[in-house]
This record gives sequence, C-alpha cells and structure tokens, in this order.
Amino acid sequence: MKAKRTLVFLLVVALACTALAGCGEKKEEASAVLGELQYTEGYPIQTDKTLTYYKRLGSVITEVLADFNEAPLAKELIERTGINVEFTHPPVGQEAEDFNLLLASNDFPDIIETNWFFNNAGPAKLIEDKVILPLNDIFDKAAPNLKALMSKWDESKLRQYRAQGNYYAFPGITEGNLGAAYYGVMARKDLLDKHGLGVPETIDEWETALTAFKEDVQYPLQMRLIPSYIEASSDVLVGAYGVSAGYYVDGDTIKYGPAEPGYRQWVEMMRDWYAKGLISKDFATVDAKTISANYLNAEVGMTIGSNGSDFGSWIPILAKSHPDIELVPVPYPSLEKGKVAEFGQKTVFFEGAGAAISTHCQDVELAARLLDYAYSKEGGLLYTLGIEGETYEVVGENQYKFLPMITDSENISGQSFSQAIAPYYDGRCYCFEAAYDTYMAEFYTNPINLAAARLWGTTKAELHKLPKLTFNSADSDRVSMLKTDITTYVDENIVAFITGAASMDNYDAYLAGLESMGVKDVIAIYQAAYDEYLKN
Amino acid sequence: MLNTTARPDVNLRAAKELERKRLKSRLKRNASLYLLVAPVIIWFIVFSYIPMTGIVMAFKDYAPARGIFGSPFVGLKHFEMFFGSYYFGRLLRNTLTLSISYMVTSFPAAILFALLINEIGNLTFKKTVQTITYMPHFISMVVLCGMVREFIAPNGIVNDLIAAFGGERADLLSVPSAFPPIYVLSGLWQQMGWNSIIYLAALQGVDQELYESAYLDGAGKLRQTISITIPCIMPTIVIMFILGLGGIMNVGYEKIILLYNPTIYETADIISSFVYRKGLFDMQYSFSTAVGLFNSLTTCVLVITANTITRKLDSSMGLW
Amino acid sequence: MVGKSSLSRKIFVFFNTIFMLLMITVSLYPLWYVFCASFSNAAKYMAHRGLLLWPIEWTWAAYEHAFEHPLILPSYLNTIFVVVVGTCLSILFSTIAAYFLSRKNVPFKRPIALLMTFTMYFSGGLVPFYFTIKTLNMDNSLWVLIIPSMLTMYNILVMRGGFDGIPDSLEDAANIDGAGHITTLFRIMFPLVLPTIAVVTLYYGVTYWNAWFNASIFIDDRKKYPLQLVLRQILISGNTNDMTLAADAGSKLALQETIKHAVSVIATVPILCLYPFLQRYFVKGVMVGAVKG
Repeated sequence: MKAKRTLVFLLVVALACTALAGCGEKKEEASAVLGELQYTEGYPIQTDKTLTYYKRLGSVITEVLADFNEAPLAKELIERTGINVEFTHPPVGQEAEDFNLLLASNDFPDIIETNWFFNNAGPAKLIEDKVILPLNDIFDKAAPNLKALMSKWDESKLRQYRAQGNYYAFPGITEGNLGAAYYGVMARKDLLDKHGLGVPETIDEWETALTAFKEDVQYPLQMRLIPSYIEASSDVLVGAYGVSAGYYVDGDTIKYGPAEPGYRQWVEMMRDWYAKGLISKDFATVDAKTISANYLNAEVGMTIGSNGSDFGSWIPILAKSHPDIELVPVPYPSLEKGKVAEFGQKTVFFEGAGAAISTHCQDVELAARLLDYAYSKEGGLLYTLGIEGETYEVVGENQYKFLPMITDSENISGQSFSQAIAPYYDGRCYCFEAAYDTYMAEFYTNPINLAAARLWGTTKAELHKLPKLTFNSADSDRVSMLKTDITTYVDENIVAFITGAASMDNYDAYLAGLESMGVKDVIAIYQAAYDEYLKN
Repeated sequence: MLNTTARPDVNLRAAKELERKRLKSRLKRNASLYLLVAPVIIWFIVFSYIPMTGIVMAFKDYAPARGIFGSPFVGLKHFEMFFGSYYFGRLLRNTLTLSISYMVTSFPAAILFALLINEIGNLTFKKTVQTITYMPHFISMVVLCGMVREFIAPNGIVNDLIAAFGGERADLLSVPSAFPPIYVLSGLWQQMGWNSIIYLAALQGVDQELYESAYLDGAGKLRQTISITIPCIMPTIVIMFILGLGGIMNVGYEKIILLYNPTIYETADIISSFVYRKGLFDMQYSFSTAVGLFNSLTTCVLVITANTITRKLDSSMGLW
Repeated sequence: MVGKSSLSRKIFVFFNTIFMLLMITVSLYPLWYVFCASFSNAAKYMAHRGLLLWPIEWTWAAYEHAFEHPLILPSYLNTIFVVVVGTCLSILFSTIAAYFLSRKNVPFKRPIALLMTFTMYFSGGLVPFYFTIKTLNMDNSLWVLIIPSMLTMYNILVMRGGFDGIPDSLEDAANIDGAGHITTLFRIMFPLVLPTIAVVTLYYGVTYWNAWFNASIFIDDRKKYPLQLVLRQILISGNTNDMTLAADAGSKLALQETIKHAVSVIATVPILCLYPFLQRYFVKGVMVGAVKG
C-alpha cells in the first residue's frame, strides 16, 4: 500500500513534468523569404535594423578582447556597410555543444557562422529541418560580389560548399598555397651537413640520414606514430607508399589505407626502423611536451610539427641556446627520387567555415548584403589586413605592407603578431591572394618557416582529401558504429606489428579481422555518398 | 462492497479512522516542517524531474531541430549499438576493474589516513598535514597527468627506483598490466587527503568520554580505535560507501585519454573513453543518453542491493 | 587524546610522523611544480626535463601576460559573487533538507527521501535541462550559475549523517520546551552540526568555484563568464592538438606553457584558503561534544 502510494505520487510528478517540458517546444513559424529587393547597390546601406550574428571566435582574439563587438574590424564593418550588427559567441572549446543547443532552442540569430563540417547533422539536413536557408536564389539576387567571384571558380570548388544542390553558406575560403600547408617535418641541417647528406627526399634517403643521426642524437626520429594520429595529422611516411592512414579519395573511388597492400609495406618499414632504433621506442606514447623538451635539448634529429606553434616557437629558442643548430624543412617523402608526394597536410579551398542565414532572419536581403561585403575587394582587404592607414598601407598595385603597429607589435604593445592583428582580422575570406600573401609573409617571420610553408605545400594532398559527405540517417549510424571500433582495432594491431610484439605472419589474420569488422560496409557507404556528392 | 461480515468491517473502519486521525495530527504537528521543506521539493521537481523526461531520448533519434518529442522513436537501437560494439565486453571489464580497484583502495585509505592524522599529538603539525594533503585535489587533470607521465617515463624517478632495486627500466605507459596500478595510485595521490576530510569531521564528533572510560578499563589505543572510533564513525562510512558505489560505472574519460595509448587499450580503454572517441559526447545526445541510462540502471541495482543489506544489518543506517 | 606512553606507542608516533612528513612532501610537490613552472623562464621550462625543484630563472612574465587577458578580473568578481551567494543558499536549503530527512515519525518522509535520492542516479541529460532553464528565463544571468546547482543530494546526505549523530534526547528536550521545527533546527541543532556544515560548505564552495559548464551553455555575454570558464579557454587555446590552432604562430607561444601554469595558480590559490578557515569549526565540534556530556 505504501509502495502504491509512492508510485502514484511519482507518476503524478512525472506527468506534471511532461506537461511542463512540452511547453518549451513551441515552434515559431519561419517567415524568411527573399522578397522584393529594397536596398540600393553599394555601401553604406540606409537602414536602422540590427542583425544578430552568431560567430565562432578564434582563440587568439579572446586573449586580447572581451568579445568581437569591441573589435575595430567589427566597428569598421558596421560603419562601412551601414548595417548594425550584434555578435554573440560560443565559448571556445564548447562550440559543438553550444551549436547543438542553439539548434535545439529554436531561437536562431539572423546569421549563423560556424564550421559546418563539425556538425553531424550536416547542412543538407539543416536546410530540410528549416534551420538555415538555401542560398542559391539569394546569391543570384543579393550577393553581387560573391557571385562575381563564383563565376571564376570551377565546379570542383563550387560544390564544396553546396549540399544536395543547395548552397548553404557564404564560404570562408583560401586561395593560394602559402597558408595551406602548416604541418610537416624539419631536420637538423647541421647534422646533415656533418655527414655530407642533402635534405632527404625518399624513404631510402630518410633511412640513411636517420642511421647517420644515431651517432649524434638520442632520438634520430621522434614523433607520435600511431595510425589514428598520423591520419589526423598528415600521412607522413605512410603517404610515400601511396596510401593514407585513413579514408581517402583515389581517382573516383574511396579507399581505406590500413586495408590496402601499400600499408603493409609501410608497417614492415616501420618495424625494421624500430628494430634498428631509428624511431624512438616511445613512438606510441610520446607527448608534445616530451618532444619539445627533447628537441630543445638537441636530442632529436627529425620530428614533425606545426610550422607556427612548434617550429615557430622552437627556432628562436634554439637560436639562443644552441646557436650551432640549424633546421631545414624536409619535403613529404616518396619512394622514388623526384616524385612529388601524393599525401601530406594541406588546407583545401573550403574547410567548412562559413556564414549561413537562418530561417528566423527577418531581412534576408540585408543579411546577404552584410555577408557579401567580405567578397568585395575593400571587404577582402579589411578582413585580411585590417584598416588602411591603421594596420597596413598600399605600396603599389596589389601590393600591401603592414605598418609598424603590426610588424613591430612586440615593442609597441608587447603583443605578438597574432595578437596584434587579431582585432583587425577574420580568417573568413582569403579571396585576394595578394592580401593573403602579405599576411602570411608577416605571419612566418622566419625565412625557414616561410620556406617550409612553400615546400610542404607542394604535395598533391588536396586530390585525396574527403569532402564533407552527406549520409542518410541509417548510414550515418552504421558508420559511426563501425568506424571507432575499426580505428581502435587498427591502432592496436599496427603498434603491435611495429614493436615486434606480433609476428608479420599474423598480418593476413589482421586483414581478415578488419574485414569481419565491416570495413567494406563503411567504404561502400562512403563511396555511395561520394558518388552522390560528385553528381550534385 | 456490501457488509456481509459486519464486525470485522466495523473494526477495520475504526482502525482506519484512528489511523487517519493519527496521520492528521502528525501532519498538523509537522506543518511548519513541510513548509520549510517545500522549496527543496519544488527545486527537485523543477531542476531534476522536469529535465528527467529527457530520458526518452535514449529511445529516439534526437535531432536538435525537431525537439525531443518530435524526433522519431527508434526503440532500443542505441542500446544495440552500444552492446553490439566489438569491444563492449572489454570496455565493461576495464571500467569495472579500474573503478573497483580504485574504490577498494581509496576507501580504506581515506579512513586509515584520517585515523592516523587523528593520532598526531601536535596540533599545529596536525593542521598542517590536513591542509597540505587536501591540496592536490585542485591540480587540474592535464597538469597532473603531465606529471605522472614525467615520473614514470623511462628516465623518470619511478624507473630510477626500479633500477636502483635491480629491476629493468621500462616505458611503463606501454605495459598493459601497469596501467591499473598507475591509475589507482595517481588517484590516491590526488584524492586521499580530500577524501579523508569527511572522516576527520566525523572523528571530531566522537564523545571524548568514551575514550576516557575505555582507558580506565585498560583498553589500548588499538582496542579503543576498533571498539570506539570505528563504530562511532560507522554511519559516515556506510553512507560514503553506498555513495561511492554510485560512481562505479562512471569513470571519467579525461584522465584515461590523457594517459592511454594503443599499446595499453587492452586494460585502459573504458566505456567513457570509448564514447568520447566516438566523437559523440557532444553531438549524439541519444546515444550518450542510452549509455548514461545503462550506467544509471546498473548503479541503481548496486546501490539498492547495498542499501537493503545495510538496513537488514542495522535499520538505522543506509541512505533511505 | 588519552594513551599510555609505552614503547610501542613511541614507535607508532615515530613512524606516523615520518609517514605524515612523506605525505606532505608528496602532496606538496604537484603544487610546487605548478608554482615553479609559472615563475620559470618559458623557453628554459619547455626544454626542461624531469623534476622541477625550483623556478628556472625567476620571472613574473607569465603573470603579467595572464593579467593582460581582458576577462580575468571581471570573471574573478563574478566567481566570488557566485561562490559567496551560492554557498550561503546551498547551506541554508541543504540544512533544511537534511533536517527533514533526519526526522523520525514524519508522514511522507520516505517517498520524499526516495524522490530526492533517485536524482543521484538518473538525470535527463543536457537538452531537457537546457529547455527548463530557457523556459524559466534564467539564462544569461549569474543566477543560472547558482540556482540550478544549489542542491546536491550527496551533500544533503552527508549533512543528514551529521543530524543523525545528535542524540534523540536533545530533540525530545526541545520538544518538551515547546520549540517548533524552526527553533529546533536553527537554535538547537545548527550549532551541533557545525563540523558537518563546515565540510559541506567546503564541498559547495569548491563546486561553485570550479563550475564552468553551465556558464558555457547559458551565458552569452562574455563579461559574465566565471573565472574557470576563462581559465579553460586559456588552457585550450594553448592546446596544439587542435589542428585549427596549430597554424597560430608568434614568439609568445613558448610563453603559453608558463601562462597556463600562472593562470592555474591565480585560479587555485583563493580556494585553497577556504579550508584552513573552515578547519576551526571541526575543532569547535569537539568542544560542543564536551559540553554535551
């Protein structure tokens, strides 16, 4: 009887809760359509409306400003376009969570700028669910600057920010090669010189160099080399064997590296190097702090790292503590001399960041005009170099130079280049190569970094990169269910092969295991989605 | 009901009447108490029970734009996905191994530590020990794991000790059997002082006269501890134990992903790190709700069992 | 404490002291490490391996840069407000809840206790919680960091343990004197459970101090961020595993490492002071116990 009373009580509570929770689910009817055009061409536009703008912030800008509303870039943008904008931001590191809650809240800002690749649902689904608007018509009528650029781009670029036939965002794009490759290998030039060796280009030359380094340093090659990590970074070494460490595009087909024959050759090579002591014993466990400590203590011959945050900070430190040490960027290796590497790290034209217009936007034309400004020449310069006369000056046709406030920021404001430019810069549009090159040249102050950016960018990595694919929900579940298990399986087995814990005789058993885990299903799902992508 | 058997019915009615009267008077007597506790109950309903309806998400394919109730119902799909995973058995085993071995060491360790602190005679020294040992609790996980890595690296202090005693240096983070001890010991290092705080407070509540009379009876220090101290802080111990059981399925992923690598997945990969790797933690609410529900149900069974046993042994103890 | 000063006692005291000294060393080291790192020369620190026993080339640089961050100071004030107001409210309502749970012979106590305990194991997850807060219109205010996390069943149970420890005779005496629940709770019981309240204050205080998640989803205005959310962003911004950040360059990057430690110190030291302050209430508990007899 007591139990019954409790049960009834709990039930009543539960019912009350359901009723209350239901209230939160009211749907607002979307009112957004592009009506008759009402604003004149050119800027500033005469309006007293305010647009709300949800924007991901880079981490550097949060170090110097409380929020983007305070940025000179934002103020200048508002003044030049005549459109008042109010920015809100997701917290750094919580973007995905925040974005999903934004969707759930059914209370969208006018403009949503995020990385659309990071969202599981995918833009096609968001259009279908009436969260964001398809932009095809809007581009045609209200985005003249972007439309002009788009007429110069070919289909392989255009389809990157389109889902099932609909453009979904004003894209953040990168033209030019200089900023695209920021991850790669550097070697100790002083050691190469000592042994009379050139910069290694092939796997054999790597082996020669590493063997020679064994005399001089404790770790000829130290980097984290577990398969899933290589996949996420750059396919270094494994790429020489014509495969990626993960899923990739080969012509029109999708392949998974660890199931390919070339991968086995890489594993055998790694096993050999491990036995010879050319790669550090802790290749599976080593972390960034250890590598940087070893590197700065001159105990590493070669390592992989980011041009900016790793090498960019090590080079000035080494210059003081070990003036005799010299670094040289090493190209992504290949098997044959003179052959350009097929794989490497490279940012492609569109990496997913872009601004969409939500279905709650009351003035679609105005939002489009605001976003379109970035694709005008003045807009592009503003977004990349800042304000003329304040941060940069024009020194010739399509030639720009940063002013001391930026170039000498270290002495003037005590800020690094990244911090000084952050309030004036928004990496949303790099459509004007000249402006972008000015930016990158200042970004990589050291000639070694600049050379590295050029050298690492020579790979054909962009040909093999998977674009953002759209899956139906059954496929999406199947992929997410199988993929993690497969990655775990590969990591675990390959590390065992490399260290010698497992015999190479078991490699066929490993391949059979991979198959039984459904790797073919995953590839087939990817392939179907990729075919669909090419068709659109 | 018709009155076929009149007398028992009358009796029953009288008894019921009496009970109702008693209840009424008890309710009346406690009116101010209900008034006091009303905001607390409302709080629980608003902030726990209303959101709890979201558990239905585990059985749906939740899509943010569609809302919880508008999303399609998919039955046990997410549970199948979880149980059907190739590694489910290993994940469950590792989760239980790590949490149980941590619990069976940290739990007595904290009590023992509190008892030892209690034995310190010098008050200043006693306070210093208490204050300092609780501090590692505040070190962030990233920093702590960085230090753990440094200590157990091949040229770190732990390997120095192993070498000094004639052992062979090893990269301990790639030895599967070494992971559970590393996990447990680093946890003790960080939490033992903090966990002992509650027992220290409980120890202060023990009546000093009990010790005096025991001393007069000729009981030694150990005897006093066993027959006075422990029974006196038993309610606290029991509550902490049952609460601790509640955490057994919920081993956090943060420490794991900062320390593990493929060579030791065999012992280090747990449910939460798996869910984390799936990249679903922030994205797929339905799947993580399903995993959470599985964890909750398992813990509930454990806790209810423990509570029932406790109440059988001593009805004044237990959570409810 | 009463005990014979026998030989075995002396040996025990000796080893106990040694053990405690060892514990002090072991516990202090992580803090000392962070402290040293925050005052070290960034470049030298990055090259450093093994134990860090002393700051390498003492410098304030990391602290100077940390305080240049535009949100550190405002977020400090936000956090102090949340901790002070939040802890007071939490203690008030937890005491009431615990007092209720410790009463005997109160109708409906068991279902209510069950209702509360149940919440420890089941929660609806983030999304419905988010809707609840939105519906209540609590988002984007500091109160959202206080009210929804005001009560923790765990702490209520710890507190109930304190009330359970009070002899029934005392309460009976209060009843005979005609004291109502309010008087019994606040005048008579409250002073008796001070050691437990001190512990729970510490638990709540620390929770409020460390909380960042609710702020991250409910607060849009960055000027209302609590300290821990800002700290988290600083820690993350130096995380080179994030490929989108890997392209960030600048000579300040080496400094990032030490700035992280400096911010950790800034964000940890104030809360560390809470414990010694509360500790004296543990001692008071002994005195109360003495009076009782």
